[in-house]
Amino acid sequence: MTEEDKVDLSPLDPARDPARWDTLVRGVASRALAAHRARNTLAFQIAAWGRPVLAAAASLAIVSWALAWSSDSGEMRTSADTTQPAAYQLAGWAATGKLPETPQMMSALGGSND
Amino acid sequence: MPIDDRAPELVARARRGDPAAFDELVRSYLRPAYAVALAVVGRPADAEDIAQDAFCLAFEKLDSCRDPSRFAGWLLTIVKNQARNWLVKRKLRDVSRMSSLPEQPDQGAGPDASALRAPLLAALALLGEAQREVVLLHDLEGWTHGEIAKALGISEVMSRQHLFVARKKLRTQLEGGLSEERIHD
Repeated sequence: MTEEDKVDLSPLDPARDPARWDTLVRGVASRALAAHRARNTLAFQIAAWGRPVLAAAASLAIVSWALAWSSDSGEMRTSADTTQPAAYQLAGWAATGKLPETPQMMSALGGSND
Repeated sequence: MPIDDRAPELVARARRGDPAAFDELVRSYLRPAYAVALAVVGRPADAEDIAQDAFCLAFEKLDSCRDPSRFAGWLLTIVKNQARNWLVKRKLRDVSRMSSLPEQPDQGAGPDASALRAPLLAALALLGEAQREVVLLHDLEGWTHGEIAKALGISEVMSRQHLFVARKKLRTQLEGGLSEERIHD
């Protein structure tokens, strides 16, 4: 394939009018440069960092809330575990009419006789 | 002509905000960007707009150009995506009525420019997108097959094949058009 085979596409050449093309080139270069400079300003950098920082803060808040919630429910479960046997014991003593020993009663009510 | 050898240096300087580097990159690659946009959308005026917008977008995310020695390929991918998005928007807007209107002549174009372009654009429209890209980059921009292959991510053999088929189809179409005109005369 030689240069002679080349199809003449010059009517589609955007630089047929060199002055107009030069203006266009300078316009694009200055637009691009302005955008680049705008990206390097402090405000833009803060805005650019704002979104990821906000996302990280939201994630941290969710994790903290989840941890707090699970620890609260754990505490509730623990207290229920200790009170339930005491209630059963008291009910058992009431049903049978048996008088418990002081240490037994103290233990069932979660106290100590020390 | 592409300046891939200098591209890494120019990209590095542009990242530092050197105005001369911006200017040189635009001067070197705006025409190829226009050629690729034209291959996709088929309208010179729109192709110019798309090439300009794509260039600004490319400069905005210049830091994401991982391999500056392949700047041309990276840029032309952005141009192609922009052009395809533009085509989708055009279809959504249903501007078929507008597309049937004759294209407005460019400012500064000679009186015969539109008349010369119309048959060329009609003939180009009959080619595949890849064929249009190759023939425009080769015959309009003067790129070599090596440069085209690198920028478009195809093999040199494929580039030659596309050019061969594109030229053949263009010639057939353009000569057919001329013969018809002679008959009408």
